Amino acid sequence: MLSRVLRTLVISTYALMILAPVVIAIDRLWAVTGVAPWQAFGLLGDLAVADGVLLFTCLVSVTASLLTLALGLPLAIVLAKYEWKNIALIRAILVLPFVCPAIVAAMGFLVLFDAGGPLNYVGIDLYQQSGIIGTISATLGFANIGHFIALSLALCWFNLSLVIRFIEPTLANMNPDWEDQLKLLPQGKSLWQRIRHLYAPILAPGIIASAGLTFVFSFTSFALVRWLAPSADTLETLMADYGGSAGIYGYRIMSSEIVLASSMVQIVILGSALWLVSHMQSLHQSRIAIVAESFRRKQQGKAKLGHRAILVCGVVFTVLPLLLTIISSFKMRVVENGQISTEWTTQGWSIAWRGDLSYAGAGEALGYSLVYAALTLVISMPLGWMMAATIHSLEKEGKLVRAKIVDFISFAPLIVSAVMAGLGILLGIIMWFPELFAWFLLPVWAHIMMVTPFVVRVMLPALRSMDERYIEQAKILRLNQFQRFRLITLPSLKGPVIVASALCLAFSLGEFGATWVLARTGDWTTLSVLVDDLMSRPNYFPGVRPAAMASATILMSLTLALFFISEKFRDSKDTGGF
Amino acid sequence: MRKILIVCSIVLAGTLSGCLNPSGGDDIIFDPTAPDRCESFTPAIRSSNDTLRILTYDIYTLSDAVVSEFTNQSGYQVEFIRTDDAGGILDQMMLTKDAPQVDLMIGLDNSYVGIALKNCLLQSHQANTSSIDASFEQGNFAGEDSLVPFDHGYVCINYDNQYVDGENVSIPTSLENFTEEVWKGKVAFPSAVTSSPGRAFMLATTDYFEGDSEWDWWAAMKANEAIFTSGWTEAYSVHYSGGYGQGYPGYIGDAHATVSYCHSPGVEAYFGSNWTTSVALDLPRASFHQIEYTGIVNGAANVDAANAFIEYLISEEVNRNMPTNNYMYGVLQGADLPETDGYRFHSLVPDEPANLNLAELDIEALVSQWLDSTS
Repeated sequence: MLSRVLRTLVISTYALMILAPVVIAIDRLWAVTGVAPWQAFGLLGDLAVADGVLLFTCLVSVTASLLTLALGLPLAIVLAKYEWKNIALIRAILVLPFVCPAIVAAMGFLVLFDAGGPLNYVGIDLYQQSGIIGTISATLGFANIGHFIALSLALCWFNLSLVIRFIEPTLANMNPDWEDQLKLLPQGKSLWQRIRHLYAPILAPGIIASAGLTFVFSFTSFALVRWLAPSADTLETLMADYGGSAGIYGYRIMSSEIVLASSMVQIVILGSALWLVSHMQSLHQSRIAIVAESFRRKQQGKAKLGHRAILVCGVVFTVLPLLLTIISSFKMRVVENGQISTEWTTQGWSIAWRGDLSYAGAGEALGYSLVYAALTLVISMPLGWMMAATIHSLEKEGKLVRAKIVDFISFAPLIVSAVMAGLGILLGIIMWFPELFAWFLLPVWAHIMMVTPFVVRVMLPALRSMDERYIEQAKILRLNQFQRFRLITLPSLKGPVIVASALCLAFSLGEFGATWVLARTGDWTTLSVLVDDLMSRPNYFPGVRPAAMASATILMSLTLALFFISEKFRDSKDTGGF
Repeated sequence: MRKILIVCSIVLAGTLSGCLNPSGGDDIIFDPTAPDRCESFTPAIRSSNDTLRILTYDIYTLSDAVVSEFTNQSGYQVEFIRTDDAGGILDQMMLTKDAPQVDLMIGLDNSYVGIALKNCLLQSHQANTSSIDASFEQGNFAGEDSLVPFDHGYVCINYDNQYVDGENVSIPTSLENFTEEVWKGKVAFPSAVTSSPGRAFMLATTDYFEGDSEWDWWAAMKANEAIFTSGWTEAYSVHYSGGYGQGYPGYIGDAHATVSYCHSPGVEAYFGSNWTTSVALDLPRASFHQIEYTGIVNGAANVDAANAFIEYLISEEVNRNMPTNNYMYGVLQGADLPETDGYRFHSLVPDEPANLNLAELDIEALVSQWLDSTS
């Protein structure tokens, strides 16, 4: 059992790392605006630039959650119920978007929705809103509905894996005899009755948890909104726009008001959502335990054509934006006598690698990305593991309320805006450690904040499912704590540790929001920031865009390689949700 | 577990009671209107490792090669801190004003430097600036010994002459024309709050309408469904039909006029083999002469290195390349745009740009008014 001192230290360190920047930022914003945090909620309605932003953020997050369920549930069902060759590979492909850097996804979707892109061929024009999209826009009076659909689809793509990860293992482990038996009873005659009495009680916690997490990730999405819905703002992009001038006495007070109000609203909404998710995840774990005790995976034969079609559509939807990103890195726009065409070239790759159009070449940016990822791993992995162990210890001791509180604290970074965290870190550094202002390792702090919750999410179910009898037997054999850890705990958790490590590296490599905010304090460029830099500069010179796509491809390849390695070690019983 | 709660409570209570208060703890609120403010303002000088630290935005002329050459020539190492734009530079300087973390800023333009000067963010330089064209010795901030211009350009409305065909749609002869039905939903403006060109054009309109009806015009533009974007990139590359955005993913092309530089059509032609449909609109006092400055930060640790970099920035080898590397005019005597591929031919130098006393204007108040009019 984790010693109480260590437990105290771990939670205090974690809480301080997460809470300190937020407290510092709130302190400054309160001082600058003269508005107390609890009074700030009302400000959002008074600020003209924030008009409709909260509504849009909620609308797009709810739409993305429902769309993700609509597409993810059929995929999870066919994957769970039927026999598939190479199921591990299929599952890995379907889960792949979740670890894909958001900035890469944004690039892929931009190409997918482009005038010459695949969707355009079937008459769907989301950006210029001609054809059916234009008709829908005019009918509903929704000015940029194409952008809204584009963003919702991309967010759905990003979070699809959450539904699959939560639902597929539960369904796969469910005994089909249960349904057959229920059919014989009056309460199970119709499909609706069977859903109500059998499937809903078992699957509902997982469905709500995955929808809740999709809502949270959609609510805080930054890169996708920035690039796919340029005419709209969410709370996160609004804060990014105005965050730079926030927290300064006597200067642009409105910026401070926007950031304070937006962040307080965000903390309350996401805090509530994550509290619900945390509760539902616990319920989900208990349902899984009931199901798994009675049965182990037994598919209902081979899939029919309709089932195959569902799976093929899912795989194509998953892979297409990534493939298009790679293809775009070899295409360059050519203008001749006013005619725009494209030519195939590797020029984008040479430009990106040499850094001809940026302050750092892709190689240098890759170096920074790898250093940050490695350091994030070294700190986040033990920190997250110990947080998970603490929660597990409290649960075993029957201190369920305290376990829930610590579990909720472990989620805390997900409810804090990157802008708030960045501002808090910046102010704290200036106040106490000004010499660290341009320290190149500063972004690691932000990476740790963003990545550690995922380590906790992977390690906690693994710890819960570990057979404690081995530990007890080892104690009888008089193995000391270190020997028990080396000989029993570590081998038992090898799979989850590798999965969590790979996720740590992948998420750190793709981290964009917080790095983007903190990159303003130093001379460093990660691959995700490089892609954004290239995309943001004037694209008069046609080599800029393929160079951005080439950088995105490097980032994507690295992340996906890590992910596929981690998938090899994933336990088939894994139901952690990530 | 109780210990955990106690530790967390102490930390939070400490910060909440000692730190979280509306007076802002120990921070001294600076009064930018006090006459002797700069004499009494002494920011903490950072401990330096002899590396010149420069705060700038994405100025494309400062490539790795250019900076390496400076290091070879002078022996000074250089480190950059980059923001999004000129506004970001000012934000960063204001935020760190009591403990500046940079030596030199590059990129504040004349719509922002007034605030920097009022807040004593800059100090005098000793760089040799004799190569700069004499025209910069007149006008706003001409006598300021803490500012050195390094590039400039004019901000005005650009329109797509494929749309403005002279028959169904005629060339606008006044800003009021843009409030007509034919331009409904077809003009894109970058925000005056978050974009430098947007702010510059907003200032020009105050002169164009002589401080009388500019906010009515902006409100009329809003009513005419003008498109407002947070930055220049969205307005120009996503919405504007006459710019390079065409042919790139994400392009919408629903605006046939936007705010950009009067030489943007020249840049389009330069990279488009002397072809562009974009034209800069020359309306009296509806354009803004934007001058970008460099200056040594008040509290800089490496003043000599900063002076050396200023001289390097306005040297022949760097400044002559401004039009092709940074898409702006250089400031040296005789500087002009290249004639290659119609760069100069398609660029406009307005006959009568807005004439504003930028040192006296309360630009932030104007920005607020702009926001009220367009929301």
